[in-house]
Amino acid sequence: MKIKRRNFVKGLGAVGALGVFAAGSASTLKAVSKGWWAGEKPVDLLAGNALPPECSVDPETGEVIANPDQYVANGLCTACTSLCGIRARVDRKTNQVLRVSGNPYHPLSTAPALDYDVRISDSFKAMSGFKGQGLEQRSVACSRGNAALDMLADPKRVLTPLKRVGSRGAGQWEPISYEQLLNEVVEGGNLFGEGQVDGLRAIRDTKTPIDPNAPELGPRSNQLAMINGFKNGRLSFAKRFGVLSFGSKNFTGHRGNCGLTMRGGYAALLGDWKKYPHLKPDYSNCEYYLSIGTAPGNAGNPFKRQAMLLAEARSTGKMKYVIVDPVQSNSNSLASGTRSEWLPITPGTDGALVMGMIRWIIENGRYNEQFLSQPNAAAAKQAGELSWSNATHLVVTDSSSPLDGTILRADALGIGSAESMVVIDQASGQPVAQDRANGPARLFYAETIKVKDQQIAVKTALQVLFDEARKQTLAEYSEACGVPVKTIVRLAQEFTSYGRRAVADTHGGTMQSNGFYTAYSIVMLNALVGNLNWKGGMSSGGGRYADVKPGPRYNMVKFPGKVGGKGVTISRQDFPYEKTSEYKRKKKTGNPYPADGPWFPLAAGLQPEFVLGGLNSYPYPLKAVMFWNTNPVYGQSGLSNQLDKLRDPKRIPLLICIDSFVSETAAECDYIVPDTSLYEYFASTTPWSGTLTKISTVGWPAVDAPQQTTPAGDPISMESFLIDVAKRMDLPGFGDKAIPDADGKLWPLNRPQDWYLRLFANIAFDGKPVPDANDEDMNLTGLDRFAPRLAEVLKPEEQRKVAYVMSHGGRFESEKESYQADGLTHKYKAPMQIYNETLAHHRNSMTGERFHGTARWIPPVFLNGDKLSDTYPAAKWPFKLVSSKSQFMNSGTISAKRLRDLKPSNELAMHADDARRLGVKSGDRLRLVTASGEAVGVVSVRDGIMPGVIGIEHGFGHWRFGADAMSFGQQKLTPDSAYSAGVAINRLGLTDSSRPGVSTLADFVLGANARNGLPARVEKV
Amino acid sequence: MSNHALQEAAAVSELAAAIYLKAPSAELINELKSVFTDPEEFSEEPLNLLLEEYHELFFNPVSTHFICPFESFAREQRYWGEAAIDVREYYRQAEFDPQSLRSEVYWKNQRMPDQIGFEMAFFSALLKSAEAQADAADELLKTARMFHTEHINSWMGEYGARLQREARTSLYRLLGTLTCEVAEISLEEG
Repeated sequence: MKIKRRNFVKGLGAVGALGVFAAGSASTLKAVSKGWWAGEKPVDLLAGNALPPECSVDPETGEVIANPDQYVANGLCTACTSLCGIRARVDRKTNQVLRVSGNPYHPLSTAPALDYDVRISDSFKAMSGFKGQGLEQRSVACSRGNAALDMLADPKRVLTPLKRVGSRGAGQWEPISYEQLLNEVVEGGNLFGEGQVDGLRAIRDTKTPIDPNAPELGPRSNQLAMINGFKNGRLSFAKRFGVLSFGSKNFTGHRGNCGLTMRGGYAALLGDWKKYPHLKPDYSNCEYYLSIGTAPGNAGNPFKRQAMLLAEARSTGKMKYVIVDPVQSNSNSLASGTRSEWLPITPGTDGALVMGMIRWIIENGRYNEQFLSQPNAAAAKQAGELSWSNATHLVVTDSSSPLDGTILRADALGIGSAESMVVIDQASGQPVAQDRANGPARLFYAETIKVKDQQIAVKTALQVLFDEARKQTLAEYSEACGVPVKTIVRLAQEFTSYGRRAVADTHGGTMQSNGFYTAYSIVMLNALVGNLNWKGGMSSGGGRYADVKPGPRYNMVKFPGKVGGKGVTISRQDFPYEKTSEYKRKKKTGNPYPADGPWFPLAAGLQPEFVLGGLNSYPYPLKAVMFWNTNPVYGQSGLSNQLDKLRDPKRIPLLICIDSFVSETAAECDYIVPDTSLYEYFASTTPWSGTLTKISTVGWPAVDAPQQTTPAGDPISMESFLIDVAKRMDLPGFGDKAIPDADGKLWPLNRPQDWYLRLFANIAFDGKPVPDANDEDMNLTGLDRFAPRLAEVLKPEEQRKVAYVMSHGGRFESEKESYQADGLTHKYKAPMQIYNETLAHHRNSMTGERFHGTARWIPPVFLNGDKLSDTYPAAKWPFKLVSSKSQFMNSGTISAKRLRDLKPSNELAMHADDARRLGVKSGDRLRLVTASGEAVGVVSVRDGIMPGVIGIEHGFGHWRFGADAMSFGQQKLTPDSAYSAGVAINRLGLTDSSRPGVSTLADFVLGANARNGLPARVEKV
Repeated sequence: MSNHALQEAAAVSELAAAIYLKAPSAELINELKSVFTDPEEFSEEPLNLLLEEYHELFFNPVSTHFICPFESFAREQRYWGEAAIDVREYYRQAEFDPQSLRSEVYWKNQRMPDQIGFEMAFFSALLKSAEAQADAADELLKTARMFHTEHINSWMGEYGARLQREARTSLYRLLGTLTCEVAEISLEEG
């Protein structure tokens, strides 16, 4: 012993600063007697006990020798919403997924992608060390994509139908037979000893109105709502059941809890409130990328492709990017020097920053005049533009005129048709019909003009935007957002210094109560530089091959007896309050405002209001809700504090959840129906923009699902369950005569493959048909197992082509088709809306005020327009909470053990100045308090966060999934604290007392869930 | 080996682990002053200077004073090398969880098992366990001896010497000395 003699043993405090063991003493350890690798010599000294590879490739000849014990299924990852193509390596003997990597044909997983005509064995060769191709052709899955396979074998997975025992939410379940499930869900009865519950058969009445005094609400079949998740390639099947066959209008995805404000901003800019298109940058060629409320490579879509291309940009130095975000994420890289910049901002105030930029850009003439001054498509084409806008169109800005807020039509001046707008010709200075103008028009104009003997005030759309931007000074914008004036100016200067190769994008960071106008302002920047459809500019994506939409082989949406949804959704979306019987009734007696609940005439996919409408029975009561692939109890900010309402069967009598796990939402339901998990199901989908070429990604069962099967032999899943419900109810569109082919002959829909394989046939035959798969393609990808199913469902000429699509994980247009000269091949056709007339036409149903038709800065507000800061003053609520995206977790991946190992918990990120002021250090526990809830978490002190903000990574702090005690019949599951580690920010979400009934805070235009910028205070624990 | 010698070895290892795993604080300095009374060995310096040095030495890879505190980096010039895998296997078999230690949260969040403080804490815990369990003492000491040979003596002497040279403050020069002492511990009888 060579320790210098000191009085160590006496001197050290057991629990003081000089110790490391909790409670002062070390835990009792076990002796390690076996040495490393648990005592067993590894198979290979270098590779350890790693799996044998799927093939070997001769480094000299390139000959591929496949491992006969494995196959490689190219398919779809749905562990997040990016929808990447993956390559699942499967053990033939155990039927288990061994590893997941990227599909080398898929542009979201690699760049450049392999050409689609490359055979599977050649793809193995391309990814090997042969001729050094492997690194170039490497295709990857992200950490989540790699680890999500843990979910397949999670012992807490739901494998049989479950029925609640006792009250809702009590965590006690009884396994029931599939037959009992079908019978009770369809026929209803006194199912829980709590009184009669209507089954789906009783609910489906497509003729009788729910309320004869309000026929616009639609038929009683609307009293079933289907609340679903993201477009994972299976949504169309659920929609066929719910809308086209059952006849309910109430069908939604998760958009309203995800990125609806962003989508709404783009919908306004692109003038399409139905399809809600959106744009993404041409990442490979843009030179200045302003990302506000999203963090490329860390959050937003497409997650992995953004990360790859950003890394490329960092290393080549072609792009500068600025991330505006209250929380610094790993989108930024100090190693990139000045090419990467993080700009912190106060949550909910991005709109102020951008309106300041817009003001400066217009005042200083830094906009793209040539683009903006083109009044129509022909003039734009003549000027060499690839898109155009309504910047020059005249807007009526006269509150005394009934036309106020509309875009002036040429017929009102007697100079053209009712369809044509009016512009001021640049050469003559005279009003002309916009569709007849053959050259540029004036961009700025604010005069009165004679319309039917009345002088009314008009302005060009760009003038309206400019005047709106001028309502505040740069100093005022700066004060609102916490970004210095000189930085606002610099950003505006930089953004307008790269021609059309500057882009601005946003996403879920705008999910605030002022989110729509924030997003519209951000994406408006793209219009000012005219970057749409240009190389290095913004793209609406390459689209997809025909699948569900009527395709060359089968029509998947037409069938005898099809009904479709009619009336008003429970979310009151896509329908103006002013058309309701309630409005008319109230108007007769006085002021029709406020409505009895908010209406959102411009919204789509408004999941939060589906839940709230159901709980409030407004505008009508629901009788049943079916949740699938979604977890709003966890994901909807502010909902989990009001579970007593969801647990009251009088509000919604029947709740069914189709899920692989007992999620927070499933746990509140009456029945849980097992579902297939990733790599076990069929799917057909496409990326959410972000790629320039046509892409259809397909998934198919690479492995068998472990759960109970239906009498037909399929695993119980969303598809097999809905098929059997439909057949039991004799609904149209299911059974032996359901899917028409191109000749009108009807084919069966009795099993999931009947739907998906025909849908794949449409993809295979769209345009020039794909090649046939050969035997080797099929063997290497495990499709040899599938051959009998292909033969059973498809026509002979379809089988090998469908196999080709499946073997490649979809169908992909060559990336060589991305560009035509300096433009994009796939262009967005409609004009950009500097002023959106449809927006300006609608009103806030709680105040009666018309929405403003262009971008504007509005601070976070309640639905009645009151500022949040008035109710929650900073003196009492000094912090703002924001969620940040996790690279590992989302609302449903906590079941993946490997992800928990990588990131077991989240922290409360706090700025170092705040921490010093409060005497808080990393590792301390803090209680967060908002007006709606409390939560305790561990602090991580950082410089990379806006002062006054606390950032919380989403995906942790679960209270179900296994975090709580559950029983399944005799089986008792003890709580597992690994599932509950960390804090779930949505438990702190706010309500909106300015509206009646159950509420969560929402964007005042679209109703999107407002989850960011929550006023809070902190207490040391 | 006497109980006192075991206690002393465990204590110095835990002490050094604590200084590696915790950023300097007033509490830590005060406690150190009560143990190290010789100003030649340790003298009080401004806390902000100590904090700066702690981060420069152990956390900031672009600092010119950075001495990466991970065994894999020191021996293999990489993170998560074979040493880290081996150390993790030791922890797993012995049921030692670095997450349970009182440490800065960022060391825990990195989840790299071969941080020098974690290794010292593990070694200390083995010795304490040996002292507490007479019937398993021999096996535990054997494990401690093996771990010391493979993962402490193999690199910490050099690391400690470098720390003694690079450190600007007496606290971290002292830590360098303590590290060398831990590296030189002999668990052989006599």
